[in-house]
Amino acid sequence: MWYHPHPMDTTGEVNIQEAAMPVLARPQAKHKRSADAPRRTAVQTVQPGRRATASKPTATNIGKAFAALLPDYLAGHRLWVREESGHLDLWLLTPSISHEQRLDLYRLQVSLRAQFPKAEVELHITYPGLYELEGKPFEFVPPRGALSIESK
Amino acid sequence: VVPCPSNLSNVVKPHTQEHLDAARRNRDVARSLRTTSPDWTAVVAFYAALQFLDAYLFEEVTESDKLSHHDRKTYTEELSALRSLQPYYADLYGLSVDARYNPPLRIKPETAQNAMDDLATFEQGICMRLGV
Repeated sequence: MWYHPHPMDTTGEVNIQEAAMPVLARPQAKHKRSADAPRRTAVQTVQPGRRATASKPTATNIGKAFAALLPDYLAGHRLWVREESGHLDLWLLTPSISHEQRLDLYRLQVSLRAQFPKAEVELHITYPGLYELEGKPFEFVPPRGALSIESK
Repeated sequence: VVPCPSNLSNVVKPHTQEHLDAARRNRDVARSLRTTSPDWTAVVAFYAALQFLDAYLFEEVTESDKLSHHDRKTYTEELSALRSLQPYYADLYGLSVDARYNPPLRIKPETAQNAMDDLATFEQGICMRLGV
């Protein structure tokens, strides 16, 4: 489990564990692609020693592009990105935000798609206010292998 | 927010109507779970939205019954007719993933209400796009 309420600390603050934890593989549905289904191509992984160009749909480029889209109130946000099997996950940890703000953040996926139209990207927005914490603080554990993307 | 009329079989394809019927059944189950299980409210609300989306896609875009979650997500982001509904679908998907796959996390009742609000907006939007 990569993010969960911490059972011991009762400060009510957000804790972030940088240490990698085992990642539960999210079930991936196996679907036969129909002829009408939108075509996807895998996220490209940059080879060591090679520089990625801004236009290439690498995990880092997509993560940085998404970070650049984030509103100012999320300055200092925490964002992680991980590419696995051609699929990219973005984890965005925010302070408590409203439902409308959450919807606005999901809208950014449309802008990201315009920049990387063929990348498979899934955004995960998380913050303590979504969950019933029963007095326990919220702890986020980035998935193993996820890269931290710096704030703008 | 005005829900779709229950029977649109005179204006949509029969299979579209089946998706709409399934969506309403899921929506009603989600409503019934609000006080007892916010987690499952979020999950079932997402699947109600999925059926509303499939109704639109079957009617207007593709008659494929082999769409993946990624296919659906892509359609909501790329089709101009669906783009304004995209954040509601994405929010429902995200909450349902949390509720299903992150067992220590329990969705707040207020968050479950957000999911129901998302679903109501999504339902109305799909209904309008189906021309009713």
